[in-house]
Amino acid sequence: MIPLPKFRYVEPTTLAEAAAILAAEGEDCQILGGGTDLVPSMRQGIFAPKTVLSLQAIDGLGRLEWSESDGLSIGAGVTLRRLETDATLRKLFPMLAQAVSEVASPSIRHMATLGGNLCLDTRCYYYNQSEDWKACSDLCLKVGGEFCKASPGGKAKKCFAVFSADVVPALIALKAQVTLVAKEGERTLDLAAFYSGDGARPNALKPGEILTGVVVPADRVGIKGSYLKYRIRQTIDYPIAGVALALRFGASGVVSEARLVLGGVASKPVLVKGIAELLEGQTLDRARIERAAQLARKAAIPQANTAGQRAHRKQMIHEFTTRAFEDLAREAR
Amino acid sequence: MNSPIVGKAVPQVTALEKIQGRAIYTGDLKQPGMLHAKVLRGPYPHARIVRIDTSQAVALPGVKAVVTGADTPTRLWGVAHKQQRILATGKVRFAGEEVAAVAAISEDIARDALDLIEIEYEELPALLDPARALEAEAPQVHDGHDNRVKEIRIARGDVEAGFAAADLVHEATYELHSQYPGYMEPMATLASVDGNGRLTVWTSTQSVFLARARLAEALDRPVSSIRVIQAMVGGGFGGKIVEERSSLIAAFLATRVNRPVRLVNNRLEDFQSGCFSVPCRLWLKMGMTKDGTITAKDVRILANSGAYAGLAPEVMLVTAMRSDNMHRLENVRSAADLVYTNTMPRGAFRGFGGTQMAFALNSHLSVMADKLGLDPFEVHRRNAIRAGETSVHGWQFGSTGLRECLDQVQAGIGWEAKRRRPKDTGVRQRGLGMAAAMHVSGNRTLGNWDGSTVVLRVNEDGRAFIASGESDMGQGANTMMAQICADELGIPLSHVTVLPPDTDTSPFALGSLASRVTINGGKAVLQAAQQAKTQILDAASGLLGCPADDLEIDQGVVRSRTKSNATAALPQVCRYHVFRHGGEGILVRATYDPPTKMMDADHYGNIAPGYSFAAQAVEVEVDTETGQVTLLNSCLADDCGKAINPMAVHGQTNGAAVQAIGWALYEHLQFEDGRLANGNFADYTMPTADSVPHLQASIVESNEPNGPLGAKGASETAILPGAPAIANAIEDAIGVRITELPITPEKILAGLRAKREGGHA
Ligand SMILES: Cc1cc2nc3c(=O)[nH]c(=O)nc-3n(C[C@H](O)[C@H](O)[C@H](O)COP(=O)(O)OP(=O)(O)OC[C@H]3O[C@@H](n4cnc5c(N)ncnc54)[C@H](O)[C@@H]3O)c2cc1C
Repeated sequence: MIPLPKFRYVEPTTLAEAAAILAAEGEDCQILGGGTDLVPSMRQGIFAPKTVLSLQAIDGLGRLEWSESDGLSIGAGVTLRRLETDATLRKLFPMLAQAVSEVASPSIRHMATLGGNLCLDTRCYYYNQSEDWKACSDLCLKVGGEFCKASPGGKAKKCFAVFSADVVPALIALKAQVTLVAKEGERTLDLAAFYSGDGARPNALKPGEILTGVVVPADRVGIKGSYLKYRIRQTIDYPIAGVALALRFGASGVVSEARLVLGGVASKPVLVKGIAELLEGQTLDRARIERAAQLARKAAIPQANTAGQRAHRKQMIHEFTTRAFEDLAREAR
Repeated sequence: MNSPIVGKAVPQVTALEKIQGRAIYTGDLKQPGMLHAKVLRGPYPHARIVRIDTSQAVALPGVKAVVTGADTPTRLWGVAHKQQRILATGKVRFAGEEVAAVAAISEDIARDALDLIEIEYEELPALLDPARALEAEAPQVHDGHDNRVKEIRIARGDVEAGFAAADLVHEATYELHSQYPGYMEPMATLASVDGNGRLTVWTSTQSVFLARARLAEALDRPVSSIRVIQAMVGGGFGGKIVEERSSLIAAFLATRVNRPVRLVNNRLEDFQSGCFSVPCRLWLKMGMTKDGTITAKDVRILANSGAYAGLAPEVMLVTAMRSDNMHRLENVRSAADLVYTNTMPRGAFRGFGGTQMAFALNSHLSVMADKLGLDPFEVHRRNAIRAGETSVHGWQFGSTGLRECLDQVQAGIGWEAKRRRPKDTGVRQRGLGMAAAMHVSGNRTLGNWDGSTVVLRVNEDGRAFIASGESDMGQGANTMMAQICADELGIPLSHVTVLPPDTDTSPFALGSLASRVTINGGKAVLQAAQQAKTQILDAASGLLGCPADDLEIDQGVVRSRTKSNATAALPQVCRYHVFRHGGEGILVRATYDPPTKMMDADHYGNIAPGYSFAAQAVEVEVDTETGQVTLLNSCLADDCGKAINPMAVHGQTNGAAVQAIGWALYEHLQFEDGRLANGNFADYTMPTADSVPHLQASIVESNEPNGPLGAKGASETAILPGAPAIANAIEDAIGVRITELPITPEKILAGLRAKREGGHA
């Protein structure tokens, strides 16, 4: 086993205490959810925080509550295993349960938290390597180098590491809101707006901020959803193309709301533009589904930094979008 | 015998300690004063080492030794090509080559010390593509030598005449990639020098005696000054025969500090240093008559040895000619070239070169059968060699279960009915494929011998101890030996202990390679147990006053066959033996030297006492929109002669099936500028439970006359047919022939596209 670097471990019991520690220690302190992403990265030498702050003793981060007025509120500390087995969640938002159940493997889902999935670091062949490996040639942008080596031509000044959390596209398709807490106070934003698109700093977390949870609005009940994931093996592997589709059908099969989000094909989850305009007020037919799949394919910008060739992953976005639509069209009938 | 133990599916004798977590692997071993070692690897595929400065590392508190190539003995070690020092000197020839090593009081300090070693490299042009190795301007991997490691030219019969007599001639080129052994236990060694200067090495090895010989050579010291003990081994798959290098580094450090030193690879380090299978490009041309008779076979191979030679030349020889022996061929020709490149050394891997040719051959036979309107099972049957026959390369077959293997898997998969069903036309299309292969059980090669010796002791309580230098790497050798011994002596399995191989006390042996341990080691155990039994019955004859030939041993009791009251418990007899022979217990030694013949310079001979066969049929489903392949069914039959332990054989067969699935569909080494980019199990995707269908493993017992109780080797043969069976099933499903491994969704979709566009896939 590759050993961990040394660090101080703290386990505050209140959010205020946690926020105070984070404020004091700044970037030297890293938050630990289930550790299924952070710990392997620390072993690889990607992070060596002086302090690791675990959220597990904080009351309230383990909440999973449904109310008809406020929707579904999920604390950052809820494990993926709990999410995928929760009866209410499965009944109200089966797509979300589906997306959760596609993450990694059962043993990892027992440890992994929602907060960790939302704050998952981006991944890349040039980044997820040992120090020695990286030291052999120019460093990549994400670890202080000049260029993104995964970018086309290797000369981009923007990091293209891929964002590949499975749960996020489903939550964005369901218009989830995310809450961030710091010593100075708290803010809530659309989950879609939480992601920057910059592989080097993939999300809007400011130093000192803790993601405390998400809310899926109550009016999302009744939405039909489908999450489809493409990967090499049907377990453990990260998505190399993921599709979360949320549709609401009105009378006689007319689409009243449509949202399509892609995962694993860019440095952030991609909310595909033009889907609502294309479909709302229309019924699903082959031509419209094909058009939607083309929009999705265009919106996907996979890079050569993970398994699967780029063109193939774009094609899989097309394919899986089509399948998601066909699944929901069948359900709607 | 009433309750035979041979042939019974019993858990392995190491199972209990393993599932309790109490088995002691090398990484668990600790000694007083033990130091921890870490290795610094060269980052470049090809670079001159200009300068090394270890002074800061040496100065780090807790560091006890820092060594570089310059410190190591100048004597070169290697299998046939003596070309390596314990650490690289002058230049590094592949990314990951060991350049310096540290021994320190903790692993953390050792690692920190590595960071303090300064090395200046001058990068050299690297040879990464084997196809360029023989070009005049290619960089030289070994200065002053061209990049050809070995060339093999074999020709028998008249290949041109064979092609002229054929109704169908087919040729194709195959690309066979390299596979990581993926054993559970990465390499680990603990080495210790005692006050008299003797070196003791506990290591994860498939062969203690070959390990000792290699240590003696690399450390340039007498063989007898070294003792190698095998700790529990968590898998080897060929990678732990003779090519790994970390045990040498650990031992060298121990000799420098005169303290115990432990070196345990983590997974990344194991990937960087591990022995991978030999990749090759293989061009094959075969001729066949309308009835499916193979008239000629012509093959050209370009294989990649990586930076050093190791066992790769032997592996390539197997690729070049082994499969010829399973059929009644007359006209065969092979031209094989092995070249150096600036990539990690490649070598032995389960199947030992057989998988590469099995893929090409079975792909070929399937295509040709299709073209001739024949069933590929029939083609194999028509050409199959029979017991009593001698193959084109001089191999003599005492037993051949090939036809039974074919029968079993054909029935097991439901071949006839499924072949007749209409082809799927939807998105998901199913297909059937099969393949068959052969392997050796034993191999008379190293020093023209292949024998095995066993020392068997029966204590005064009637329990037996086996000392053998053959080794269990998890495959079940100890269980096999214990079963044969218990069966012959009429005692419970739990009364037999197989001692860990130890070069100081075990008889000399080659170890676990070439599927030789059951047939040769098992035979030696059988003979030793027979001798011990004779001594026991002689003693009992004196004790009971019955003639020895009237006595038998049954469940720990010696009894007369004729006089019902003449019985004596085994402990009583064994004690009696000790007292009547001046204190000499029952202690016997037996050697089995198989009646084999080493290959001559022309590669003709009869190298193994037995040859084993396997056949596999699979059903796949291809998603024609994503290109993903799912295995629906697999049926794999292994002709192991006689299953000493059916449970162990099934385990081997199923494991082989999975490893073949990995090679065919999932595992794929990725390199970036010659450096391994996916040396971890998240990115080097071995098959998971989810990738594996219900596996049917069936056993064919062809009863090998040379084998102990009819047994031959099992397990290596079983890895051979998987990949081609899958490729054949894919073609059956979607009409796309994949000739380049691994079979990725991208290749499937490209093939479908080419087919749609009317081109050739
Ligand atoms: C073999 C393997 C396979 C995997 N496969 C998948 C997969 O298929 N799909 C997938 O989505 N993921 C996968 N993962 C990644 C990971 O397991 C999951 O994304 C998981 O949900 C992460 O949650 P965690 O609690 O373990 O995160 P941690 O490792 O604890 O944290 C991840 C990151 O988020 C930060 N963080 C955690 N919680 C908070 C918070 N509340 N506020 C602010 N920052 C926070 C941490 O500082 C860290 O940077 C895989 C991981 C492994 C090891």
